[in-house]
Amino acid sequence: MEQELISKKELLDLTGISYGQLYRWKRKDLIPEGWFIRKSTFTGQETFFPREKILSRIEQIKQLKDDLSLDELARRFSPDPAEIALCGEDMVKRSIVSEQAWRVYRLEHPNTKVCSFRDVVFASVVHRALASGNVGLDEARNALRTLEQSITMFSDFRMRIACVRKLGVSVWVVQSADGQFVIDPDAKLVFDADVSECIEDVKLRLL
Amino acid sequence: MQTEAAHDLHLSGNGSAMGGIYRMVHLEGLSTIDGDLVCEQCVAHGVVRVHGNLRTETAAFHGKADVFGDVAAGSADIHGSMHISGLCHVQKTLRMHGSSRLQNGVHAEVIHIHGRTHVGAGCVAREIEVRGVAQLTKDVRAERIDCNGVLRLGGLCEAEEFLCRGQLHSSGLINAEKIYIRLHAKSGVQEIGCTDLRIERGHGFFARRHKLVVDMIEGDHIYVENVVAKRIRGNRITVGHGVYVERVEYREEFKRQHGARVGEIVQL
Repeated sequence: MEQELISKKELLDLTGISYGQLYRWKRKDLIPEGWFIRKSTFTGQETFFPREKILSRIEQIKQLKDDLSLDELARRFSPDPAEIALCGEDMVKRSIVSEQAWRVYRLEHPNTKVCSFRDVVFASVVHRALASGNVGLDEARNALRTLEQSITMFSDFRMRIACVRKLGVSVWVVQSADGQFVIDPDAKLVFDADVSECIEDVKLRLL
Repeated sequence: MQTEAAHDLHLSGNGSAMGGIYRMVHLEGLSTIDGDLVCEQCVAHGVVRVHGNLRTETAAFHGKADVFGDVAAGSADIHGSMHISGLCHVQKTLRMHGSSRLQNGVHAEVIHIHGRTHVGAGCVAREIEVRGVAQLTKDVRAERIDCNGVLRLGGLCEAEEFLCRGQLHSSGLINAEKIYIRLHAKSGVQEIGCTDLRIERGHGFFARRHKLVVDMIEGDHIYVENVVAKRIRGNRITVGHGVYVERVEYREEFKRQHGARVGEIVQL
């Protein structure tokens, strides 16, 4: 996947942080190792970052670092599950899921009142799929089923979920976070989401 | 540990025993244990071979010891030569005097290396103290690393405080809040990233020959002596005696002392 990159120097200029801060945040795992992309340029080896991700992450760190300790922040950003339990109204109130997405979730699990972190994440994926506007209600319900069946295959939610549709028939695909796949040129990639990104999003909304 | 009802094990001379659960284990002479050994206290003198995992509250080895499995201990003292094929997990202090090889990595609260130690995998600790030679071939994470002697790093090294007096070799990044290096021998590092950096030359007649060769230094406050670098980038940079830098990029302040050679100087 081609993504726009930003050099370290440009990043420091844009955000106004220093080398020391960048390295400290890296040490504390606020910035994942995988975002440091090394490339050779005519001035030697340089480090680049995925532009969108790093800029929004640094903005978040700058906003939150006065209120929270760096260790606390690291826990928020890490894709590891948090220990929480939410009921449906809470999730709607915190806009983790929409009313509609919650209804879809209830169709699949009619007796659920309180959701564990795993369920919250899945519900938020359903919400994302519906909010994208490309996925129908039944398809979203299938996504939930696919996620729940495949969760044991992957460790720590490091996975992506995608929906491919051809001639009106849709199929959900769950893959490891860094895996790649190629689809039939006639088919259409309808929806694509990184589950660990959904987790980060959920955690920020829980703040 | 369920060792309350267990018996003691004493082996003297040329002895061997099956593993199992014991209270106290005393091994003297040439001892072989076959199977996993669980005990409260393990004291060994002489040559010991454990074919299995070792789990103990306190461990003391004097002489030569081979463990072909994992070691889990509350605290461990090793005098002499030690070889662990599995992972070494020590809750409190791991002291190694003599030469040790830890093939599958080490986790400990405090690691003291006096003598020579080779770690073949990751190394995680709160504090690592080296007096002698330490070869850490994979990633190292610690709050404080204090080395007097030779430190060879094979991967990423992350610490809050990094001190090294002697010789330093690293084929990865050294990332620390505060770094102090005193050079007593030729050294080489690929990359340094930090907040405060101070690299000084040691004393002695040949002190000027003891250079640190580094690709890139990035930090907020940088003071270097006897460094040969391709790039130095930072806010406040001072280059001292015996420095040769191809390119310096600074934001606030740049000082060059007598005897430093700098190719290009750029203020950002």
